[in-house]
Amino acid sequence: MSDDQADEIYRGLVQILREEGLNWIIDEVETAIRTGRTDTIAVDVETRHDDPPARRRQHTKHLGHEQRDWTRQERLAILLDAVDAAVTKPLIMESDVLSVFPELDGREIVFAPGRFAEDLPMDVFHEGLERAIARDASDPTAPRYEPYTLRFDRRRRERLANADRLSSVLLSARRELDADLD
Amino acid sequence: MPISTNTFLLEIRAALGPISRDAQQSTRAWDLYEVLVLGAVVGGARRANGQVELLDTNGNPATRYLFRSSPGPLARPSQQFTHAEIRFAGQPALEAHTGIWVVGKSQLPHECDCAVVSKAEADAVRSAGRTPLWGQLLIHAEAKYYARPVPFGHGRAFLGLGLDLGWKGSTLVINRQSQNAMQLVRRRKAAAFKLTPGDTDDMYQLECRFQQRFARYRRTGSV
Repeated sequence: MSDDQADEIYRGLVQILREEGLNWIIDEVETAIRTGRTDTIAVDVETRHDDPPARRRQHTKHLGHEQRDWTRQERLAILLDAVDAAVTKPLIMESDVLSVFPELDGREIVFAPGRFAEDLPMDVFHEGLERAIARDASDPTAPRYEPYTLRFDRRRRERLANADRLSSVLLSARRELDADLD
Repeated sequence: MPISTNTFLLEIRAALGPISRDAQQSTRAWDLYEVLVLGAVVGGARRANGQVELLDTNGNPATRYLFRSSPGPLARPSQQFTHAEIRFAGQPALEAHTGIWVVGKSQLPHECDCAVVSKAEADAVRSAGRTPLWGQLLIHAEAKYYARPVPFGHGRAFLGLGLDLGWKGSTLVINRQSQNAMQLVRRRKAAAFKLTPGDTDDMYQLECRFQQRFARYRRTGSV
């Protein structure tokens, strides 16, 4: 895949995610991209011994590290993986949960705050607070510690079929990128 | 055959539309991942021939499955949260909880995404209204679900947590490969595992990790 095509797909996919209200995925990906990538390299260090009786050179291997920007193909790979982790994998995860807790089949599980924020120890409170203020408070998709329910019902199968479809589309692009990145 | 940009984006749009609503709350995946890790703990206990039952706070069989979306106390919980009771023949019972605080060696509370404590300690905690102590842990697992590459700092933070909790079955579980964080954790007295949803081999490896801890408990009765 060329640099231009990787860039074009990246921008197109970002546009689709924005339209679908999935800005948080873009935020996560852009944070990772801004950080850049650290590569480990092998460094050969030469030490010269000029003193007699033997004049010689000693070579030792050390580790070196270099910081660089992600390539356009790597950026697209990060975005594709993020969409997979954020959209398709949670639906697959529901099936995994059902296989270990079969008693949940046809039932619902509810998630609720462990405690009200004012009762939290300060370190835990701040962690929750940081998550909350990391996003725009006016964003309706921002995480909130409110109860919500997952239903393990018939509709889940339809959602799973859609997740499989999306997964195979993402995989087709990922395979082409992997061939280039290798 | 190389993919066409337009076709790819059209297919993405068509496939994403019907399920995008489910993904709009990022916290859903984090919360469900903690339940999945609890499932691996339960799976490990069953592999070690343990009997497992899901109970509510009062010790009655759960009829409503309620889990924490943010950390909270084991004693005097805000709701009737569900936990797993684990029994091995001839040994005192254990309890597995998600999202509870545990007091470390530093006397500070830590959030444990998944913790297995002796039932005797859990009963004492509920009775006294205190927080469980690190010494009564059999397992503590940190569940990290990330859409982006896992920050290296999580490996460092986990080592600090494991140290303060006395390396009691310390297990870091991440949804994707993170070479650096895993390399860092595995060089210490802790374990790091990848658990990608849908990957049965990942689940098997993690269950085997917990099975070892439970098998030792079944032999010795000691956390």
